[in-house]
Amino acid sequence: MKVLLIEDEKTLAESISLYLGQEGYICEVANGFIIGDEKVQVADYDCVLLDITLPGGNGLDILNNLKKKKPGAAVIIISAKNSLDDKVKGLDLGADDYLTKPFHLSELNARLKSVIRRRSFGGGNEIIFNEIKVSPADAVVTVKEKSISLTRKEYDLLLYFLANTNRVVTKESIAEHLWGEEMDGIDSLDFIYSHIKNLRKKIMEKGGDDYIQTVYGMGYKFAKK
Amino acid sequence: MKLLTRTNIFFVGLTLIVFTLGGTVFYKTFRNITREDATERLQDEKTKILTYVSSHQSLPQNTISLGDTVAFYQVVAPATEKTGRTKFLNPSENEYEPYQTLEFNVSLKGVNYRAVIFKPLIEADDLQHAIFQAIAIVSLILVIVMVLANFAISRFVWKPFHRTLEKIKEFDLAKEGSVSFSKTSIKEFSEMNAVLETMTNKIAADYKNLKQFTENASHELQTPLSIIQSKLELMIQAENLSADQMEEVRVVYEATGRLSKLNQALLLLAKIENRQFVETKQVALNEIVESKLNAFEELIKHKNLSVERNIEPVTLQLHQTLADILLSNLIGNSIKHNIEGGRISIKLNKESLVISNSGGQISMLPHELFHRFRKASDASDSLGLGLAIVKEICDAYGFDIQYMYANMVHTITISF
Repeated sequence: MKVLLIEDEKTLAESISLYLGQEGYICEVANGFIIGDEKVQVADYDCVLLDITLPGGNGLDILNNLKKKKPGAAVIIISAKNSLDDKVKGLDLGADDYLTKPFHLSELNARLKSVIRRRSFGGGNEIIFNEIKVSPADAVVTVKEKSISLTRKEYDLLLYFLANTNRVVTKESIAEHLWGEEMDGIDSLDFIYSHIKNLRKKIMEKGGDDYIQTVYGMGYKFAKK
Repeated sequence: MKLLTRTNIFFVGLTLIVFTLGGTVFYKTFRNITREDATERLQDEKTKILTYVSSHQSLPQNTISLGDTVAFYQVVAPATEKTGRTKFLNPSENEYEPYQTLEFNVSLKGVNYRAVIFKPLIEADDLQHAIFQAIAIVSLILVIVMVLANFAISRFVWKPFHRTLEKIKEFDLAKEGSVSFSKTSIKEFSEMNAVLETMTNKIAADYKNLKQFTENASHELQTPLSIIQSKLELMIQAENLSADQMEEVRVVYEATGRLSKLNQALLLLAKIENRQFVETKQVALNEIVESKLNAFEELIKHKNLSVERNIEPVTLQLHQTLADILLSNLIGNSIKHNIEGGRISIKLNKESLVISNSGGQISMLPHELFHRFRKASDASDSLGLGLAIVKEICDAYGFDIQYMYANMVHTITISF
């Protein structure tokens, strides 16, 4: 999987590419408008992560140029501007997703996987983790071939974990992923805990293993023991 | 007190003082003049009497003229000449009247006589009365003229001043960039206008810079915050951290998250203040209310809250994001600051939005609730900016917002 990161802030680009590298992606970095614009024209990427405010130009122009040439290209905008207009404009131009800085790397990773998954056809759509199988197209989850019924939040939580397996996922990033900004200022730990308890119970009821480990104070980790 | 009233009082007071002093001086002078005159005429009469005595060799039998009275009486030895004043009862008016007197010696055929001439003077009472009357009339006329003149002057001369005052009263820093005053030919006022114009322009420019600065600063903070957060996330993944180190990373991570939220809230506030949410459209508030209640459903269930809805379809010309934030903050608050098993009531109609929730008393004054960084308790997780943002959004659209607490119920009313 090849990903292009167009981001002028070098340290941030480093962190992102390191995290994505650990996830098995090949992550190229372009630090400016011209190089970014050039790269997307020349090479093919599974996904482009695009910052809007770049020295030398507006990231939306790169998006525009890219979509003219390769309408099918996957793009996630990562912007420091929490501006609805930019978001609408970006999505109108054909971006797949929009993420506002600062974001959790685990969130970026989940979004990236989801975008790539949606674009890959033919069988590759299913997410498999040992005995757990999720088919996102029809939102069906099976454990040892037996289907389990999850609530919307439990399903989202499972997908989030599966996108970030073997990694510590912080409770803040889970809260933001499940509820967005609405839960700001609310101690959401109780809610996360109850969803995790239910999810764990439902998986284990069908003979699945308990993969959800608690990382004290920090969050959770979905991993083989 | 109006300037005009004060000037008038001052003028009237001054007039009274001047005329009292003037009257006294006038009275004294007039009295002295009459006395001197009387003394001179008494001397005349003395000369006439002495002439009469020496030519007729007898005392005059009747008063010579002028209604003055002359009396002679015999004395042993001549005394010096003497002037004086005395009073006699006037039987017809039954009051004492003043007389100027002159006593002198007359010698006739070796006999010494003392002659006394009594000359009636103007009564002091009459004199004072006349002078007082004259002065009172003059001062009254003067005061009336002055007051009228002041009114007229104030009408015309102070007109530019009042125009400037009106302009300043209407001036709103948040709305207008600068203010300009109408021209005036009066030097003081045109100077004042110039000073005010420079001052307001400077204030407006500073204000604009400050707002811009807040926004830029918040915006610039986002990038380093992103870096810190991403580095911490990478650190968390490290397998070789000790429990103590992990705990420290956790504390830093949480603080960073908080800082980042705070920064976003401040940035939002600055953007609303700078009127950057200009693109408005017809927004169905009732739909947003429903969707927010949906989003908060878990929380509402968790706290066992009962929600009373009285929602009519209402469409307003707003910015989508701001409408969203407004309702999210208000409904979120009504849940967060509620009690276990409490109630929420949401009333929405064309005139207003009323959201009330049960909850304990807060230690703040109602108007302080909308100030930045005001929190019900220091321990709470909230940033203390939610209601400040709500207030700012209401201000941006000219909505009136009121807070009330009664019978364990907090109510926020927004009038459109």
